[in-house]
Amino acid sequence: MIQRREFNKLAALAAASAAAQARAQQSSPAPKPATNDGITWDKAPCRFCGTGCHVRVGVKNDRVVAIEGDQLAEVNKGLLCVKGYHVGLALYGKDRLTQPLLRRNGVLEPISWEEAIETISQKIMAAPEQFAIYGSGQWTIPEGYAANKFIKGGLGSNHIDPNARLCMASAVTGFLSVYGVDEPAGCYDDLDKCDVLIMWGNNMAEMHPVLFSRVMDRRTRGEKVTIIDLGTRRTRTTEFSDHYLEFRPHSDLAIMNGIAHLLIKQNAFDPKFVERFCNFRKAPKDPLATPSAPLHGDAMSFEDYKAALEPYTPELVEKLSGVPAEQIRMLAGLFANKDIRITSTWCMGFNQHSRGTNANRLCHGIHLLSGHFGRPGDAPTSLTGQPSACGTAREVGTMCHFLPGGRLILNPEHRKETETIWNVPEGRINPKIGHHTVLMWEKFCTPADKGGDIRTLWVQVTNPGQSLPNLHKLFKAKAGQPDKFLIVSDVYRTATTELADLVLPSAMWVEKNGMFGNSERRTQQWFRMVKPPGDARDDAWQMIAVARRLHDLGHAGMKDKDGRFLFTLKNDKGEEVPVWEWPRYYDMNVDKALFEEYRAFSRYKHKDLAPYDEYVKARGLRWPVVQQQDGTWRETKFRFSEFDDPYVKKGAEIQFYHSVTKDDKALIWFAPAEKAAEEPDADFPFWLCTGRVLEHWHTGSMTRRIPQLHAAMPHSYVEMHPEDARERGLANGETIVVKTRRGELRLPVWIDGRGHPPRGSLFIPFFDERLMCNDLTLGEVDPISKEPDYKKCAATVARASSAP
Amino acid sequence: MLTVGLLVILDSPSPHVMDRLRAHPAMTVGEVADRWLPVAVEADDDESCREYHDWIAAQPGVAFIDVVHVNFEEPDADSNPSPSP
Repeated sequence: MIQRREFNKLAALAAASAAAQARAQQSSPAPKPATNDGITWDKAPCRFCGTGCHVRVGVKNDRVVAIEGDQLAEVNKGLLCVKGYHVGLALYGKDRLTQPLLRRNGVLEPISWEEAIETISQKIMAAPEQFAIYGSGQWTIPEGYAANKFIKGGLGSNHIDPNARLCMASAVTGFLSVYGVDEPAGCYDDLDKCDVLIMWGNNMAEMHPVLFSRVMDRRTRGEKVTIIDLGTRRTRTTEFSDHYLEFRPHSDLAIMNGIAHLLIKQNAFDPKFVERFCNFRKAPKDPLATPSAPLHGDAMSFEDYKAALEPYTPELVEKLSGVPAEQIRMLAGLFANKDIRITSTWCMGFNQHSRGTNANRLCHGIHLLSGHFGRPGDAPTSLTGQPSACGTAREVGTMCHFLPGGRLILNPEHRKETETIWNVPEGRINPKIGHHTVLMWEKFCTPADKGGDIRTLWVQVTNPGQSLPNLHKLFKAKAGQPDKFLIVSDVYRTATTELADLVLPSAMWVEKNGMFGNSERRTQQWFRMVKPPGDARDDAWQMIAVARRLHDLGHAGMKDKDGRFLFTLKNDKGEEVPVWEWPRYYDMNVDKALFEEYRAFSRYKHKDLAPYDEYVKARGLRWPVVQQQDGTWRETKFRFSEFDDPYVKKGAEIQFYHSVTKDDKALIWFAPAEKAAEEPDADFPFWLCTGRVLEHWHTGSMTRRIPQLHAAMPHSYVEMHPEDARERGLANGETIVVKTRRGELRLPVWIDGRGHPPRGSLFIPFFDERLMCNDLTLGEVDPISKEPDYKKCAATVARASSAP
Repeated sequence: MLTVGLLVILDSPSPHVMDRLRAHPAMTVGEVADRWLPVAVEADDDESCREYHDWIAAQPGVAFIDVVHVNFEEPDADSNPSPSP
């Protein structure tokens, strides 16, 4: 035992020493030699957020026993956050689901996998058009691809949507309507090069701490980086920022219009950049007036644009936002300075916004207008919250209106191309868009005789019973409707399994092969390292097994046009393997087969992916990954810029080659500042904002089972300004009632806690399944992206003892 | 027993802070590289691990701490809560 302790200590010191050397020399250390301590090490991306840090996973006796930051990973350079270095323990909560459970007489009872697969198949056979899949940005790429092909290419239905609709959909519509193609042009290297980092409603220090650490590291080296935090409450990010600009909720559009106003008024924009690379568009009053309106908008001239911005003087913006006029001038002054490089980052502040698409557009717009685009360090970059929101939800196209590789359900050519790659008969793909997340759950929770046209819903790798907004309406209303059947594949019991009719135990993270795609277009791969507990099985296997059962029951959609099963997969020797039989599933690398099929979709939008084996060698590669003349594969850091992007024409300098206007130009949009969907009033005088905390990841179903994280942040709370608390006679830690028009919640108040909301504002994190803040949230969606606003609604508070 | 590898970022290479860390019985200090100091920490449980972390952070001359390695080979199964609503 003493030897073992000594070894562990030396291993920890060796890892820290390697990191110190690498940081001091600003280099990547050589790979560590294999050790003979019985621990085998392999690489994997972290299971949690969208940063995409790589960890080294130490396995001994079929158990993950150690985690360290991967020194070879460019994303995190050996660092991890508090969640990352405990990620291995997410596998070992003592209540892992280990066998399928079917609800009988109100109780979940163990059943066999055969019965589970048969039950699902019969439900689908009975009414395939009333079946839906609700997936996730935590699906691996092959899992999402299998689900997408199963429902769109097999069942001829588009009722599939991922939880990324709740977090990234507005970023998607922002990118699509500005550049004609999704996902950021820049990457994390911008954080290493920028002179100014502006975080728009983005608490990076807590939500993407490794990226924030990357910037802080530059300061440690003596580099000057100006950090600006625009927020609606003070956070840990504020503590490290040079400027904190606190704005009234929902007024971010006014601020960005104010910056654009000044750039034009002071002739400080970049006319050459604008002339060569940009067109102008106005958000139509009715964004859904025509099929093209959401992403094409109404054309406008530069003069029209200038006139539209005319009212947004710094003084008006101060009035609308609460940000002093001189700070609006300071921001505009930074954008006016071409000698510096500015990186903007955002996450849920812009996206979970009832005008989220417009917020995204305006941020891209001020970068384009000022020419702060296309050089390392000059970039508007959205950050994601889930490990594969980009890779699976967006690129694989598991949304109800997408097909793989950026194709659209509504486009007949795209459907045809997809049918060709899937080798399914023409017309198999339904031309009608499916239900987006909020609509899907509304239809599922509505009785069939009142228009509720979804009867069976299969949830994989997510916890909508906690994460959907307005839970009473969109989730809890399912209770008491016997004709509605909820299937949940997960690793633990959650708020969602509370109402599930069938629960399937899933393998997670390094218990299966996987691939993720992170925020910066980086596709990552890992291998299975340990076996899942009990009879837990891979999510992709579950989907393929149901598809095979439907095939055997005679569902015509489960065959391609040559009469072969939709998931006929071959191993490296070209032999077919019946992977729907669980004992045969790992006789071949199913991930590799599915990924290689999916790769064929990636060229259309120049999101080229390399062969699977290239990802085995790398710590992820950023697309487009293009093969060189010497046969090697090269990733792309800076899209649309001639110096790095191989698809930009020689001499073009910048080329938006998927331009909405087909002229290689991006669009600068005008959108007015508008009121929030619900604002405080006499009855509900507070703004309520919800979000995350450092220690827990999303709904906490994994992190609350990690003792260290659970102990560090054991329960939820409501943050309140001390003056608001004093006026109401509320003491720190006292249980209070927070009430909105949707529901109420009793929880402790935290005054001068970690975050500091201004007067009239409240903040509640959503990680705690015992204190679910989404009983309170609004559910109002952005009209274009259909993403709900979780950041703003009206609330009131009362002492628990005096609450009615 | 938890074993953690820390990267302590110093404001400047200071022998005083390194001496203080070396004198701590739960810590093993490696060779400083510029302003980056590797430290291994052994702790009986999570609480003491956090206390050590906070103690290091409070030392004059310490700018930041990054965690780079965690070994939980001998977890205390009883301390693993399964939350229930």
